[in-house]
Amino acid sequence: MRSIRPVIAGNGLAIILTVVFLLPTTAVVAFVATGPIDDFFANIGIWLHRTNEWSFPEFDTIERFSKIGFAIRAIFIAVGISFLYFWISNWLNMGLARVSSRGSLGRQSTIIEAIQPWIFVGPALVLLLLFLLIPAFSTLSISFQEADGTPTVRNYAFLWDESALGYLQFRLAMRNSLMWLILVPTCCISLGLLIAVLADSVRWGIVAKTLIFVPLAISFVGAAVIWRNIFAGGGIEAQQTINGVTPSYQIGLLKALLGHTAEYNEPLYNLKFWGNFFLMWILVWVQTGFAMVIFSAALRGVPQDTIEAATIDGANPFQLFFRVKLPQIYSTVLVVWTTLVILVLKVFDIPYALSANDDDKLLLATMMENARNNWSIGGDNVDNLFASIAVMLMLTVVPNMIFNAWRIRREQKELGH
Amino acid sequence: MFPTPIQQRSRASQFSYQVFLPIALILWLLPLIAVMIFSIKPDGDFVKGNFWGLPSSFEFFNNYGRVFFASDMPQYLLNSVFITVPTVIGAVALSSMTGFALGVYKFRGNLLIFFMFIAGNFVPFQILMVPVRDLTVNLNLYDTKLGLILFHIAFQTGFCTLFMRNFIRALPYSLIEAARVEGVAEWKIFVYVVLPLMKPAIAALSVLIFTFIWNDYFWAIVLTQGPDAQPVTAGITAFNSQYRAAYHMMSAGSIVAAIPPVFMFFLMQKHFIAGLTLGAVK
Repeated sequence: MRSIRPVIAGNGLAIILTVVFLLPTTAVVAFVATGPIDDFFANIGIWLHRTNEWSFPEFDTIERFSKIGFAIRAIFIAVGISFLYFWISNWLNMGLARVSSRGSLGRQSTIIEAIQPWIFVGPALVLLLLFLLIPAFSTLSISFQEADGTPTVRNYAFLWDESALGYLQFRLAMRNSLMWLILVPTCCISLGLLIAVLADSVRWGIVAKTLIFVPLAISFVGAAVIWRNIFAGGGIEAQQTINGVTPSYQIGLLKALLGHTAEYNEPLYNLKFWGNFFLMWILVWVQTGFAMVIFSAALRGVPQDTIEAATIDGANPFQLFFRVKLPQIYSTVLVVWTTLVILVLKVFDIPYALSANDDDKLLLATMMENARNNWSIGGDNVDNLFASIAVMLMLTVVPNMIFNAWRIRREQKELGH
Repeated sequence: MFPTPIQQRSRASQFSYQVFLPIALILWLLPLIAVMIFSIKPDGDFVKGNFWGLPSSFEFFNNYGRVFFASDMPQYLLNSVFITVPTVIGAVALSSMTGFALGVYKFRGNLLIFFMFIAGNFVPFQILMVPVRDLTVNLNLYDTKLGLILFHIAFQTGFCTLFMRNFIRALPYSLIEAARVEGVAEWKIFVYVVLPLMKPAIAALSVLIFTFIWNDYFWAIVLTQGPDAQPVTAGITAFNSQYRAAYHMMSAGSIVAAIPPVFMFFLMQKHFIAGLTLGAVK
């Protein structure tokens, strides 16, 4: 076997080199060669423009149509290059193995099998390294640097310096993140379980579940915008305040129902401290559907005979649920919980879209974006503060990551893989 | 059997259940209903303060016409399509290949690579933000759809590979062995034996990734700016600042932005749910 290693390495290197040189060249050639297609599309555009007498400038039409042409050929070339990669690497792998094995079939298949997985993994691995692994470590190293590259721990010290502004903000962000971490998954899971159980016992439960599930398909920003109507304060801010007129009605439905007076025109999510809960509710609204779907699938998987046995023994519905069903779907609850925890740690869109600059509503994620955009308060220019916040955020995820890796590994072992 | 079919319970609890549930459902969907009603109201209703009353006239065509013909919305929507579709194709293609390699071959580094993909799945994207942004600027891909697509593919392959690997592991391994005994080349096994069996996983994953990417906001604002390359999620905030305080336009805009993923969800509901369950339960 020892003699075969260099052969494998050599073949692998040959394949890598061929791919690295051949594919970009082919791509460039293909792009240049198909250039006229853009003009062709532009001509179609001009023809359409003239026959339909569109009102906007002809230049826009040309630009738009040639862009469509570009997009189409980009897609075709990308697909072609992918096939070329797959074909060339496999062909080379087999061809080189045949040549270098000197006629021994056993050696030949050993060589092929050693290289084969890397052909499949290769492209994804390159992307993963380039866009994930290297950036993550470079953020880590940035967090220990000044803007000009001199090593420092000031970025972290700033977060613990009581006289600095970052001190308070970081603490608020930690407090809010913790609240989100505890409340959002808890609410999603309890609501999801409740709905999954309740909806199973009515005939139109499927319709109800579908409707509850719909928010999951809407983006966080979309959800934030949609809920703003409900939580909004009074008046039409921009126009009315310029004219000096106090708004005389409540826009937000909830505030109108709560009986807030017209003078009090702050949106509910701007309330000090309590505003956080309105922001959280938006995420709960979006994610409950996810928890519900998973739980209802898991509940359907609970063995019927355990339920029947409990019923015969006279268990009431609550005992049945908490003592029989819930323990059996416990692992699913755990999976959903970790998924939601990670989601919450990453959540950015909702607080950013609604109250980006409010210290009281900061999360680690939004604080980091703020630090990146404008961090020069009171002469404290801590340019790379964002990196240290990002590292702190990463540190909060790591335990979860390890737990999940361990869980997946254990499940794999149980399944005998 | 529990839950007891509601028909077998007492009349009172049956009644309260059947009244309570629709009310809860309406409350749940209230923001959506509100935004729909807002989107067909005339401008005048909001000036007069008629926010929650009935619309004084039906302005569906007017409002949505303005979204489609007098704003950048169509451009944003088109960008979203051009970003989402290639990402879905790329991520699914790459992950079925890596999933196959990690699920079928026993090779050195298999486990290490697998855990790298899992870790990639959990990394908070904020830690990548600035270096990735610098990278795209250096590669001349900043503010282009291609940059966004490449990054999305890289970021999604973590989840997709996990998904695909688990699915392939659950396939009967004897099929692959049988093909090997017949002397079928490895890539042919992948294309002709494994890929056809992966159709349900591919469908589920595509629908899932489609909504993930379509709804992405963070990378849209980090890696792109302006209507040339930005997808509709970023477009909606630009749209909102353009129509500040014009609630009917903002509502119509957000409905237009939400329609494709919601439509996709209703169309492919089975696959969507299958994807979520497969991804989470395993």
